[in-house]
Amino acid sequence: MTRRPPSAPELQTLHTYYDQADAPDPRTLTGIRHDVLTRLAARPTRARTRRIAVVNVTAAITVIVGAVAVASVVAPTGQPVVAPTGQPPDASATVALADSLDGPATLRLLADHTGNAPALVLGRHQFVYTYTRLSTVGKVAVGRPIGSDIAYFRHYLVTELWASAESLASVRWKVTKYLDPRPLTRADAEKLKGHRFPKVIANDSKVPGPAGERPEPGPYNPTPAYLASLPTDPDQLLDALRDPPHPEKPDPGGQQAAQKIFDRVAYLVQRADAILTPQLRTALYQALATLPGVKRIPGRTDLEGRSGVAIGLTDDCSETQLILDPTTSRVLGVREIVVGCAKGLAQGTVVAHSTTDQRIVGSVTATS
Amino acid sequence: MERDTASGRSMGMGVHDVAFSGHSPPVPRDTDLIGGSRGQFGVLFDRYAPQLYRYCARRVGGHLAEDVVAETFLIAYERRDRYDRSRPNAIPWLYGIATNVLHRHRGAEARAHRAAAALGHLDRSGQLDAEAEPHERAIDRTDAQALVRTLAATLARMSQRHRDVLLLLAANLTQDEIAAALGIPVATVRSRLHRARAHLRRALSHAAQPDPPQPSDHHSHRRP
Repeated sequence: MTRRPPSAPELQTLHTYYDQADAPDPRTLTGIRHDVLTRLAARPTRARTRRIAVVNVTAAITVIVGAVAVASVVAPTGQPVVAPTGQPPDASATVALADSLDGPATLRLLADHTGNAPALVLGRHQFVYTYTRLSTVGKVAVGRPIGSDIAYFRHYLVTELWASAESLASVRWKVTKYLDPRPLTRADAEKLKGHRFPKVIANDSKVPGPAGERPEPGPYNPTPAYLASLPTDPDQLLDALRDPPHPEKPDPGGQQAAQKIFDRVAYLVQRADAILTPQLRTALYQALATLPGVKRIPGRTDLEGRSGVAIGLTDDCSETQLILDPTTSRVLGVREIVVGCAKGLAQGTVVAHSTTDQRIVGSVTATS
Repeated sequence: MERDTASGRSMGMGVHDVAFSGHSPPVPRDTDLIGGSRGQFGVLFDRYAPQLYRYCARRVGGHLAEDVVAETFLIAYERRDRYDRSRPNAIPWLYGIATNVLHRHRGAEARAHRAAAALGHLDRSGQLDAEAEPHERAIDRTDAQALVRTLAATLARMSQRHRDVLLLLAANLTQDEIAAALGIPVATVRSRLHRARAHLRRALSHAAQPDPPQPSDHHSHRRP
């Protein structure tokens, strides 16, 4: 679009003033783009979390917080089913998962022991309760004039969510954020002098979004029908999870495609953790094992300190780690580390670390 | 255009072949990108984020602009089903969303305009240029900067509705596009622009009058 030459003096001055505005540098735009697309990918619904002066920094591509719908397993006839139906836990799996194993070998071994996941019996009038505690990083505008600088702080975000077995939609969710805030670094502590941390915000929502606004079934909305439609052959499953090649943006080596598939699987196994059949979980882990760049991160625990096996994949901006239970193969949590792109954050900064658990409960607000 | 993920491989290969056969791939329309996948929404971002960033940076500064631009595209994605497909150009829609997000930062915007009014010479990034105060600076340029500072101060005091139309005009939107962005009739845009420009003209004409000598004049930002 070409600019029309302004004729009036006040418009000439206005355009001069406008033209003095910041022109975005490519790194800034890349960072915003990454933030937008990863947050879109992490959103199972169109429910929107407002970001005003304080925003979460984490890309949170695989961290489930604020999710408003959790699938539960209901047979097509509406009858509740038991899932997953595995064998008793086999402790030998834990012993075999030595730190020396690489990512693909670890995933294949975990895939062999998915039957260790305890069965959750889901009745028609029961609910799936999901608890997530996340340590994350927020940023706040500081400086004079305000907004001329940014300070980072770490805080906790707790999400509790109840989903109906019959409707598969969330019926209630509680989100509490800005718990226990503290500066991320000494430099941030200096910047934050004279400023207050954001107050704790607690939201308790009972009604899901308007009917018809739920997203299409998919990895980010794993309804029972969608889960049932997924093939349990790893190659076919990869095809189902993969985007078609982009005509204008070739992906030599398939690294971008691998990252997308990793993100989708990581999200899906968290969202549907308690209700995945052992066969599908096996196929998902076997599919992950074939992705280029998948690696094992030794000695990892979830946010609560539970020992797990971490599988990671690194893109230009961050490394996402999925922390799995070495005995049951279920998800314990995720971790995300900055490796680039994040303006103002040092490489190696942990921008997300979570612990998660799903249980079957008898009523809304019950937690056990 | 949304692709069928389940059969995406074969469909994708077909498109891929065209791209590598030397033919220029068709440029996707805004409406296709809005109705497409998240990846296609990324193309929409690439297309319009630079100008939206500039608009937001002018209003609230660079740091907050990053958040506002991100929020604008997140909201746009959530509301994509409500997009009027008869409008081939999405930029007024995006400016409208950005303007609504900016309204949450009303205080920050006023401070940003006041800061620009108080600063000396502004470089291209809007930051104070410490090396740009040589005594030999051309008088006409100094006068132009003084007018710009006056304009910034006027914008800081101006009502939000008048500021919106002026800055959308500065962003090179037509009156019709401003109307679409703000969801108001074109006649209202004309009326607001008329009043806002009159407000600017009064302020600038007052600033253009020579200041009477004052003992404290060297503290003034309006005249060197």
